[in-house]
Amino acid sequence: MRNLLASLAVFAAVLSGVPTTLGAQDAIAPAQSATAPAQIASAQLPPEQAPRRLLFVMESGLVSGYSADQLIILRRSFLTALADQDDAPTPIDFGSKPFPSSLADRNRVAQAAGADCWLLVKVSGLGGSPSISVLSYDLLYKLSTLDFTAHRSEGFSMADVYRERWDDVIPAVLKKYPPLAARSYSRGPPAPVTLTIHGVPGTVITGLSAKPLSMDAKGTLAVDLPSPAPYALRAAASGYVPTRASLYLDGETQLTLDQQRSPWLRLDGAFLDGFFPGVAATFSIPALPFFARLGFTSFRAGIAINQDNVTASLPLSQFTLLLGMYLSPEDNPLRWYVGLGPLLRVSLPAGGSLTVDQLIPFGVQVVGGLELPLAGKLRTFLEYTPGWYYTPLPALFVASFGQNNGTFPYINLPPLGAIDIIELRVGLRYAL
Amino acid sequence: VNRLLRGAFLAGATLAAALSLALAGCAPPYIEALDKAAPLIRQMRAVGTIGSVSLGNSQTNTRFLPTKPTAASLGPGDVQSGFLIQDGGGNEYVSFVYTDSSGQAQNSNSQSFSLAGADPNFPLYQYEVAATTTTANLVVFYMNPTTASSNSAQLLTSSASSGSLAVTAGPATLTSYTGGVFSVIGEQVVPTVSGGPDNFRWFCSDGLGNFSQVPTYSLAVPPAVFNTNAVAGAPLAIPAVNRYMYYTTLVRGYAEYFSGGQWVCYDISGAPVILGGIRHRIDALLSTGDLLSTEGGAFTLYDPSGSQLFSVASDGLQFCYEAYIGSTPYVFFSLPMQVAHGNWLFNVYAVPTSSLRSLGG
Repeated sequence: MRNLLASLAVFAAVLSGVPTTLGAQDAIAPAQSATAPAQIASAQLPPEQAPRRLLFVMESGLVSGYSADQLIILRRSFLTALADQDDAPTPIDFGSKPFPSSLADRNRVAQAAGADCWLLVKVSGLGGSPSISVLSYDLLYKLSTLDFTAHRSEGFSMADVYRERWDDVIPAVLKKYPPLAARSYSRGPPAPVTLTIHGVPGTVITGLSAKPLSMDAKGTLAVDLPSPAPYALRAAASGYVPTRASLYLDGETQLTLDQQRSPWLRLDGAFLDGFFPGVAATFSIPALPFFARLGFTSFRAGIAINQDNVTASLPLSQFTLLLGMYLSPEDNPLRWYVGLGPLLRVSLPAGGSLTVDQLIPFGVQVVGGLELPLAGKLRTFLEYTPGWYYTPLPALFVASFGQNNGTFPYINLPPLGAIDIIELRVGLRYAL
Repeated sequence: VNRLLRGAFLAGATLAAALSLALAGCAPPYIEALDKAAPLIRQMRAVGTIGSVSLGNSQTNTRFLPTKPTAASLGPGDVQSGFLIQDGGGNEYVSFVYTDSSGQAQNSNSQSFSLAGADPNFPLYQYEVAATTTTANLVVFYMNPTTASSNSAQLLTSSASSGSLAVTAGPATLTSYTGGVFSVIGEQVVPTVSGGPDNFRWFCSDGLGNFSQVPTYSLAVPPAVFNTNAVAGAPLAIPAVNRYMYYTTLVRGYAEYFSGGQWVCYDISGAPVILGGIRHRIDALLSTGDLLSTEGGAFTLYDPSGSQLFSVASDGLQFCYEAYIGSTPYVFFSLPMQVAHGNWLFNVYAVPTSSLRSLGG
C-alpha cells in the first residue's frame, strides 16, 4: 500500500482528458549531487531502494520575529533533525537565496539542484508564538504533497536550538517522501503487471485499453499493464461523479478509485442584472443530466446605474422554476447547461399586502449557463437568462419607462408582453 | 491550462458583469402603486391609462380627475384625458392631461388657486368634473370656511383632444337673494342619465340659522354666473356654521360639518337628526343612496341610514366621481403612479355603483 501511495498521483481532474506523463524534462537523475549534505539514510536502505532528494528552503513570513541570522540557525536545525530520521529524504539546502514564487520556477530550481521534490518552510509570527507554513511538491509524481500551517504557543529556543525536533513538520515530510525503488528513476524496460482496480460495481474505465473496461458486480477489474509506465484513466459509474486519475504504475497490483456520489442538491448565490441578489436550489437526478431549479431573487437592494438613483430598492421579488439539462459531463471543468422555465413576480408594497405583480405577473425564462470549478465543491457560473414577460397592461408597461426613454432592453410585443434580451446572472454554486 | 481557463472565465465573468451593469443595470419594470392598490383594482374595470407626463418632483398631493366619458358603454381606453391637481408653494395647480394626435401624453398650462386661509378639515376647493359632450369641464368651487359670502365658482374648460385649459366662466360669487342674503356653504354635483349635462345642488345659509336647498342647476350652457336664486330659506335646527358638506337625493338630505375633532353628520330629510354612525367626512352621495367617505386613507361606505357597510384601505386609489354610462351608474377611481425619471401615469378604473358594496369583501 505504501508503494501504491507513493507511486500513485490521483488528483481531482479538472483538465479534460490530458494524461499526465513524466516527460523527458521531468526525468530525475539518481542522487549524485556533490553539494548535498551527508546521505545518512541512504546507507541503511535495502539496495533496491533509494532515498528521495529534497530541496529544502526556509524563509521568513511577512511578519516574522526572527532575524536573518536566527533563520539560518533554524534552517540548519531543521536539516539536522531531518538527517537524524530513518528513511529520510536526502536534503539539499537551498540556503538563503530567494526561492521563486511560481510553481514552474520552483520546480525548475529544484530540478537544477538535483532534487526530485522540494519543501518550503516559512516561519512567521512573533517570536513567542511562531507559525510554520509548510508547502511541498513532488516532482516525480507532479503532485502537491504538503500544504499546511502549524502554530506553536512557544517560540524557538535559540540557545539550545540543536534540540529542536521539528515534530510538527518532519513526520509529515517522512510520510510523503519514503524511499523509492531505484527503477523509478532509471525506468528500466517495462514488464506486464496485473493491476486490480477497485471501485463501484459497473464502473466503466477508459484510458487503459483501446476499449472501455467494466468492473464486475463486486466492483473489481483486473487489467494487465506494462510497468513501469504512466497512465491516465477515467472512471464513470452511474450516480457517481466521473473520476479522472493519473498514475505512474511501478509494479503495484492494487488500485482503489476515489469515487464520489453525484450531488443531488446544489445551492446558488448570485446576482442578477443590476446586481440584485438571489438564491437558488438545484435538484439533480443522479445518473441523468437533468435538473430542476427553484430560484428566488429580491429586488430590495441593487445597483441600477441608468435609473434616477444609483441604487434601487423595490419591494419586488421573483420566483423561478427552471427545468434544465447539463450538456457537459460532470467531470468536465467547463460545464455547459441550458434550461427553460416559468417565473412569477410577487410584490409586497409599503403599506400593502403580498400580491402577484400587476404589471408583469409572470414570464418564461430561457437559460444558457456555464460552470467552472473554483475550489472543491464550489463552482462559479455565468448565465444568460433572456426572458419573455407577460403583461396584461401593455400600454402601461410601455408608458412606465417614461416619455422618450424607449423600452430598452425590452422588446415590446403587445399584447403578448415583452422580451428582455439582456439579462445576466453571475454567482457561486455549491454542491452538497 | 486549468488556471488559464479559470482566469479566462473570471475575466469573462467580470467583463460580462460590467456589461450587465452598463447595459442592463436597471431596475426591472415595476409600479409599486399598482400593486399596492391591487386588492381593490382587481374588482374594478380599467378604463384608461393616461401618461406618461413629466411632472418632476417639486409638487405634492397629486390627484387626477378623469374627463367624464360620454360613450354609451365602457371599455378599456375609453378615458384618454383628465384634470391634474397638485399642491406646491401655497397653491393648488390644475392642468389638463390629454393624449395628442400622435399618441403622446401632454400636460397643458396650469391654473393656480391659492390655499391661503384653508381649513385643514374642509377642502378649500371642491373640484367637480362636469359632463358635456364636446369639452372637458371642471368646476372649481371655492368654499371659504370663515367668510361664506366670498364663496365662488368658476368653470375651467378644455377641448378633450387639444389641450389648453381656459377659464370659461367665473369666478362667480355663490350668493342668492331669497328674502335676505344667503351664501352657498355646500354644493353637490348630480350626474344625469344618458349623457346629459350634470346638475348641481346648493346648500345655502344666511348665517343666522336659516338655510335653503337649491335642487337643480344645469350646466348645459357654460354660464357667466352660477345662479343660485331659487328657494326661500327657512330655519333648520343645525349649527349656523359657514361650511357644510352637503348631499341630497331630494328625498333624503345630509349636511355634515367638523366639530370637536370629528365629523358630525345630520340627516336633514325632515327634522335634523344626527347620524351617530358616521364619523368620517362624506365625499359623495351615490345613486344607490349610499354615502362614501374617502377620509383617512380609507374608503368607508355607509347605507342611507348612516350604518357603516365597510371600510377598506384606499391604498393610493382616489375616488373621482359617480357618472352614468348609458343608464348604468359607475363609480370612477384614479390611481396616480410615479414611474421612472419624474414621469407620472394615471390609471382610471370604474365599478358599477350597484357593485360598490362588494368592494368591502
